[in-house]
Amino acid sequence: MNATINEEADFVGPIITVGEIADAAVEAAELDNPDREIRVTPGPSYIRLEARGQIVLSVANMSQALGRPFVMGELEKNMPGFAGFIRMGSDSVKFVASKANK
Amino acid sequence: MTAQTPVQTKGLKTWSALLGNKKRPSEYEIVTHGLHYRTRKAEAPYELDTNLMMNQWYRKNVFQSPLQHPDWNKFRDPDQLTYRAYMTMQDGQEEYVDGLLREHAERGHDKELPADWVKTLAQLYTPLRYVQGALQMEMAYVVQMAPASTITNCAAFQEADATRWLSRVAYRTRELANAYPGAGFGEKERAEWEQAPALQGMREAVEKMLATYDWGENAVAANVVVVRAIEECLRQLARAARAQQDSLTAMMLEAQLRDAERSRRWTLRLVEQALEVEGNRSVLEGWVKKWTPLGEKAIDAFCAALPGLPTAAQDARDGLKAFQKSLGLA
Repeated sequence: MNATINEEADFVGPIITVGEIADAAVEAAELDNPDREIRVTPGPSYIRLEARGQIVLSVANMSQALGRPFVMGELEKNMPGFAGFIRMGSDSVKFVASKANK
Repeated sequence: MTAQTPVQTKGLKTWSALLGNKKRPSEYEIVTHGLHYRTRKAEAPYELDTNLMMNQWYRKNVFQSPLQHPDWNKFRDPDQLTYRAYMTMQDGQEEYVDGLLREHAERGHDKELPADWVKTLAQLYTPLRYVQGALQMEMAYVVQMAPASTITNCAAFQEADATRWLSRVAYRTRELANAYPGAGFGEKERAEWEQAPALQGMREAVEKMLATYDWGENAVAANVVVVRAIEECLRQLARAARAQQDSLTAMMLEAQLRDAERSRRWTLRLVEQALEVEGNRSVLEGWVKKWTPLGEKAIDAFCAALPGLPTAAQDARDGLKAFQKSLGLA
């Protein structure tokens, strides 16, 4: 049980308002994190998208999932919260569990 | 009475102060730039007698601050937030938090919390309204003192963020008191804040910060060290909450950290501008060196009380250090 508890604390990722950005993020997360198990927890008006240790979302895969160009500001506008540390770049955003985890 | 030089207004396409922009001023610049009258007169920032207490105070703590820049008005909020934009943005965020509270209340979330975790919430979470109150007062001082209205605006929004979370912690305190009568919710927070070992590092840091009057040191102590250390504690508290199946506390703290990111962005910009002046690096580094041990003390005491996260304090220290490093100050 303790191992499970500690694992739970290491899940990171965005909380995204329900809509096309959330749908696209779920799709992009699978493509951007092939070696990680992606967990999607639905809420009434949001989804929690996460993986253990680290999760990445790229502009390229978000654009592909949306079928149109995507800019990172769209995620920020639709992200009321997040777990972990956030590293926002122009071509991807990364959520990591610890600062040592680049 | 000195003769005034006539201002050439013919042909001006915008405010004279914004002429150098070469671009049409944005809504942000129009409503935010160059609004302070207190920086116009070096001897009497608040007009009237130069010996007026506020004039002496402002001269000493702003004009004579070790942190100097020839043009603080050059500062721009990287988010370019105006009051209207802030309210629109945070209205959406508040709706989200309302939804979280409603959803968790409907499913009886509080009643399902582990008993030991409820005690932790009473020790570490609900007393945070005192912390939020201190952070609100802290930013109110920056609002009052900052030498440029563009800086004041950022501090004002950060002050509003602190008030926002103060209010939410108070609301949660009432909910937890309803779910656990007799557990001390709504009754023991002040005693915890003043006496619990886990909170004394935080209390020392915020009280010393509030009693630091030089505007530069005050702002740096807050946004480069103390506020950041507190946020790193909250990040660890969110992790602990998730591990205890307390998704509501975790998600509220995670939403609060979104506001923190915005504060970090404008702090980065302010430090970048300050570092344009050669002498400022040693001033800033001196303040960071002076205040970081207090931030780390706050982190160590708080994180030691978090159940099941043995590396929480080190993770939080790393988080604080990484931010300071991103500013080029660690």
